[in-house]
Amino acid sequence: MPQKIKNEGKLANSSSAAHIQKQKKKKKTITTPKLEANLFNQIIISNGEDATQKFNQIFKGKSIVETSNDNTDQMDVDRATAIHFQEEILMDILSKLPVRSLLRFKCVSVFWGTLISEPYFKMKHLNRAKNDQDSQKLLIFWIMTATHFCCGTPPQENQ
Amino acid sequence: MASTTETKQKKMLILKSADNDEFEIEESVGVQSETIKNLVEDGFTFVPLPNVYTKALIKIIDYLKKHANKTDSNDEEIKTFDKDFVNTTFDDLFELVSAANYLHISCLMNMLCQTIADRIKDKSPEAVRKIFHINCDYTPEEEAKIRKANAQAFEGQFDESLD
Repeated sequence: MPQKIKNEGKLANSSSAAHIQKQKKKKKTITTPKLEANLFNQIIISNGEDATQKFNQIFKGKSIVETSNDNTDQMDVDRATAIHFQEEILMDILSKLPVRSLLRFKCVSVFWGTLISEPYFKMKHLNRAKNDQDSQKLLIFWIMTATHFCCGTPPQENQ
Repeated sequence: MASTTETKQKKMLILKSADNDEFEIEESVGVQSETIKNLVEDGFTFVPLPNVYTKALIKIIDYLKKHANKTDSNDEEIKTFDKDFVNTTFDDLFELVSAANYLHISCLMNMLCQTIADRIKDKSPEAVRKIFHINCDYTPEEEAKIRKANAQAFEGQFDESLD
């Protein structure tokens, strides 16, 4: 089975760091009755219960397409060790994107579209832009220029 | 009286990854993670990390060690290290960002999110779907509607590569 070979390769590889105290567990097999259930096709490592609940919340009642439980295929290990992407992490990433990219990525999936349109996300995006160092510099520059023009006194350079 | 000449022994922590590998690190290195710091403050020296796999943990420990020794003089060195650190595949970055989020290492989290954002910002929605392993669940009509509403954002050429 290709998956198993991959798994061994991975374990061997990860154990190569000298400072690991080896404590290899017997190879675990991961079965995935529910994994493909989630709509974004991202990977859930945890037992599914929590995650499914979370997704249910996210979709507020929208039904989640579940694959039948007789799907006992082993998961590709690369995918199994991939991510359990939480809404919060995705938001962190998206909040660092320029607006133009965000508008374009609205059509990536329903979830992305909903997330990007959420008022909370917009606020987060705005806050980040405000805290961004370059913008801040610009802001300070703008304030200083304004002060200069309004009061007619140049900003003091030395104390 | 107990000997006070004994050199201060560094407090050590043991981190255990999701695949049951154990790593011994100095406490001062580990506490850069809020999650670990909270556990240390509660007196724990053994920290199981059921959400962090060995591969990611090795990289994160490297990062923490490097950043624990941050001084003015090795600023450049750390910058080079960071640049090298994020120069990896998207899947690796996702695994790292997930781990950094769980461990609450805000500077690392910030760096990883920024890297991912920078790398996807010029890509097409199709490329982003492939990178994030997402199936489009819009109907073609819905998608067309969104594209129309944001037509301006779809002008021009986009990067279709997946790296």
